[in-house]
Amino acid sequence: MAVPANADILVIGGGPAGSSAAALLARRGYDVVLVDKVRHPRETVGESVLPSAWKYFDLLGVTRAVEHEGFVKKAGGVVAWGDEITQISFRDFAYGRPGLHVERAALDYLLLNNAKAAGAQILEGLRAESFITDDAGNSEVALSTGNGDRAQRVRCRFLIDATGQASFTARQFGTKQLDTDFRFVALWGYFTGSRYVSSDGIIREFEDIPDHSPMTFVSHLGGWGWAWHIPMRKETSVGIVVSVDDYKKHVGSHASLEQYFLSTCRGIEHLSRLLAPARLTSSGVRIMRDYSYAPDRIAGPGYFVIGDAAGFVDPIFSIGVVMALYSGQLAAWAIDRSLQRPVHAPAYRKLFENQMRGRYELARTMALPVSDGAGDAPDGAKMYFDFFSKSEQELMWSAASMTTRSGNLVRTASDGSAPVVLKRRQLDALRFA
Amino acid sequence: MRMADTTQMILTWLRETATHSIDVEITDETELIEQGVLDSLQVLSLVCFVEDRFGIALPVEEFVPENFKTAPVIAAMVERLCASPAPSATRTR
Repeated sequence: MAVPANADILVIGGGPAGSSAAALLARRGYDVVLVDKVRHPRETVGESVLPSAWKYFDLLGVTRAVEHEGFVKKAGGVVAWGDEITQISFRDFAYGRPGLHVERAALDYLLLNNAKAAGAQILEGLRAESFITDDAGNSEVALSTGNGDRAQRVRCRFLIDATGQASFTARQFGTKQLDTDFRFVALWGYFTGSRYVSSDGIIREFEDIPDHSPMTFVSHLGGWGWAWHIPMRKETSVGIVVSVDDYKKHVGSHASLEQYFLSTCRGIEHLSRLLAPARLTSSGVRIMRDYSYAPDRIAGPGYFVIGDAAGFVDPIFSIGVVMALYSGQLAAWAIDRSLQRPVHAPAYRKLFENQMRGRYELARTMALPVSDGAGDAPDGAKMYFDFFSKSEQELMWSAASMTTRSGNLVRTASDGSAPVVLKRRQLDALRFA
Repeated sequence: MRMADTTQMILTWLRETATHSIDVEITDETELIEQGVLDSLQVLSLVCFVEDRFGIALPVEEFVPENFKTAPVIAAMVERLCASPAPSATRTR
């Protein structure tokens, strides 16, 4: 594999964040190299995508390709939390287009190919080992195949860390901070033949998906735990998020991780009905621990950190893919401006950092049960919230209020000038069609 | 006078670029962020436009929602930045 010695921009990681930054910068005429440690298409979790993704797809020029894939269209969400079942429908929030349930292998591959078509050079099977930045802000990154070959070095003017949970730069700096308020474990698997929840809480058979769009179904699972149910074209992604303490307490009494996962899923009131005719696929059960974190540094002279590598809270509100696309866009903007007006590079970097911190704080405000004995939401979250349109604010607030975790966001939202309207609907039950 | 011209230039830019919200008629009074005319991406394009067109550098402290509420509010910020000597900026005009 020919690894170039120089690039304007080196992107590490070919998920939605890295691919979108690479596509936008390559289209601007920069010499962009993107490396990924694995070969695409590759599977990953995070299948629920909000309707706001479409405006990023438009900008990237992939809208027709995404439509052509025929991903499952998602009409909204139904949440069973405590004694209440509530529904939000995207059509109530001025979105002309639906959300999606995507096989991430397919979506990510499509976005990576788009970066390639835009002119980025894609190198797969290469892992970034370390990097050094000189006084002028240029970086040199050591890449290896992992086969014991000698590392190959690429010099670049900007490095983009889009390595997701692997957190390349944070690991090198030792700045990956686990979120101690959020000690959770996620377990998930894929099912065939699962029933699903459609609009108004109607339970339908898997074959009905083309005629009746599914809702993403979320159920409360004791304490601060919860479960997701996301039907896709062939399989349904089902996962549980439990506290580390709950996990340790219960996993030992089961014969295997799979038994623990299945019995937990089947013990959840509505989920058990959906899964009654379903079978776990042979790909088994995956687990992720300590996934809530934020690095101290998300940008510096010559580098930007985007996507999940820049911080991850809890996937309950499906914001991951949109945040990845946004951060890729923001980094591409900041890098392009910095290269055009180098004297102002520190200001563009600071703007990037502020926006990313604001988004992260807002995500944390939405998803965290009650923060550190309450108090006001961080300024960053408030400022960031006010950058959203009225209908987006209503969606965030309505979504957060479906769980009992919304106290922080209510504080953030309610001191604004204009009141935010809750647009959710109570359902009395989930019932069969 | 000058202020009105600046507002007009910003309105023209918004009408030409904010194509995703064509059903909103953009005037002096349009609440740009609240109504979704300036979303998180459009606002970045707008920063490029005013920086390049008016030869200013937007200090990061000015990048707050209150400064982007309406076209006249944006124009007032631009005028303020044009009038104040930018510490590290290379003025192009």
